[in-house]
Amino acid sequence: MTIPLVLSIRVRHFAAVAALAVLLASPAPAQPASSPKAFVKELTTTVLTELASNDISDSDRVKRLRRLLVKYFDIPVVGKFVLGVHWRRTSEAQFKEFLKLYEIYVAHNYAGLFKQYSGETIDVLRSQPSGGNTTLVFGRINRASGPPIAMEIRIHKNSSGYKALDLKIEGLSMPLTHRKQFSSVISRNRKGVQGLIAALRRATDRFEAQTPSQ
Amino acid sequence: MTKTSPFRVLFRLGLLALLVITMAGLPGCATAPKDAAARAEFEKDNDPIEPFNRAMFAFNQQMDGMLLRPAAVVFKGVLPVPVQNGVHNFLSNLRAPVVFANDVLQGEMDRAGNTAGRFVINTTVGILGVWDAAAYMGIEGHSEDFGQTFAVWGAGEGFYIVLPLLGPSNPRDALGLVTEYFVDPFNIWVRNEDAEEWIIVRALVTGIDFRARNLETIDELERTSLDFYVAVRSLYRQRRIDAIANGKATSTQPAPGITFEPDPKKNTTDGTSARAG
Repeated sequence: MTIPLVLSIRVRHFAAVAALAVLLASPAPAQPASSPKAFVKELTTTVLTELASNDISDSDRVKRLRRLLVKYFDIPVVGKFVLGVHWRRTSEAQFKEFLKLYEIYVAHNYAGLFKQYSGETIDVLRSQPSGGNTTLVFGRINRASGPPIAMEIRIHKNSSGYKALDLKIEGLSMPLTHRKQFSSVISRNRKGVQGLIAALRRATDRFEAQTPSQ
Repeated sequence: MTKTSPFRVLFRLGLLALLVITMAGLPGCATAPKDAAARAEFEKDNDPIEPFNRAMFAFNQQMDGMLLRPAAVVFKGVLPVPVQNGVHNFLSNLRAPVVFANDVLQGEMDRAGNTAGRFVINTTVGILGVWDAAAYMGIEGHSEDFGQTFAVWGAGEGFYIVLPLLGPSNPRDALGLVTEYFVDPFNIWVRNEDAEEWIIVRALVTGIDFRARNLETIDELERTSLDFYVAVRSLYRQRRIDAIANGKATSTQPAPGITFEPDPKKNTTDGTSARAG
């Protein structure tokens, strides 16, 4: 079985160039990705160059992550999924508030993972159509030692181009894990979705307080 | 000191856990929600003994905080990285016969060959498995267990159960653990040598190695979870589904953008008016 490694990303080579590019051309012309694989390649390259650095502060990393989440993920669709059966009992205003808090919550969740970064590279391998007009893009995270880690990103196309919906690392999905937890929080408190929003606010306030800006 | 004392310690710990949980008055069952969609989700979680499991989970967390995590921190902080890797490689190589047996029982002959080849190379060139020489040659290893084999044979996972000290499981995977305990050549060997305490030593070092390798990941998960118990339950399930399919799982789990449920906009069962999405 041979998998063409066309879209190999070498982070070390990219880092210097990308840092320069970010400095010189901040309002980069937004050319939408032409294929699912190209989109995922752009996503992973941007994420690694912007976040996988020990030179940025923890709070900067969280801020960048939140910006990239909004840019590359279809947050309303993910938010609807993580609320699951409780979504239909969520008012428009609650949903808006929930999404804002969820962005911060997820940014802090992922920020912890990028703190452990140590020279990993990501290969984008192949894509395959999946249910509900979504496409699965498979990739591989190469580590300095140990076997590579399997990665799977589910994407779809909305009016502004491709957007990611789900990211699985070794078969583990963060949105699915959040959905289960949120459902438990909602059913274990008396205020329903409002109780979840309160719990999310407490958690994100705590994370913000724990995240040093230097 | 008798030869069986480590078992007695473990037995007493397990007994203590059961006692604490019973005294806390927490037996009994989780109650299903009334709403149809919520109940479907509840049934998928398949955790009928959730109160018991939560108590056991809390007990395990206590043990982790008092013993396992501190040991892992010392392991990681004191031993040089090559020594840590050596311990991990040695333990992995020691499990190779079990992995090989399960590869064969699942009919995965390529993977069985891979495991056998790695075992020969690493036990010899790799000096009893301390050095992963096979990986250096480009032959990466994998893991297997009897729970996965039973799943490949068609056994369902059954309900979720948190075992004392051993953590997340289900009847299928727990039966897998028992099977492994009895058929693992290492265990048979040390039993014949009347040196069973090495089974405990090996289990302890395996636990410390696992905790040390996942120190930040587990700590981060606990810190950022709204419900750590549910997070671990969900991650255990997802991990097992992926492991059973050897990483080739076609998504059978719900995902954003895919609705397995009827569209709530067209189907309001609770009488409240649906809002535009």
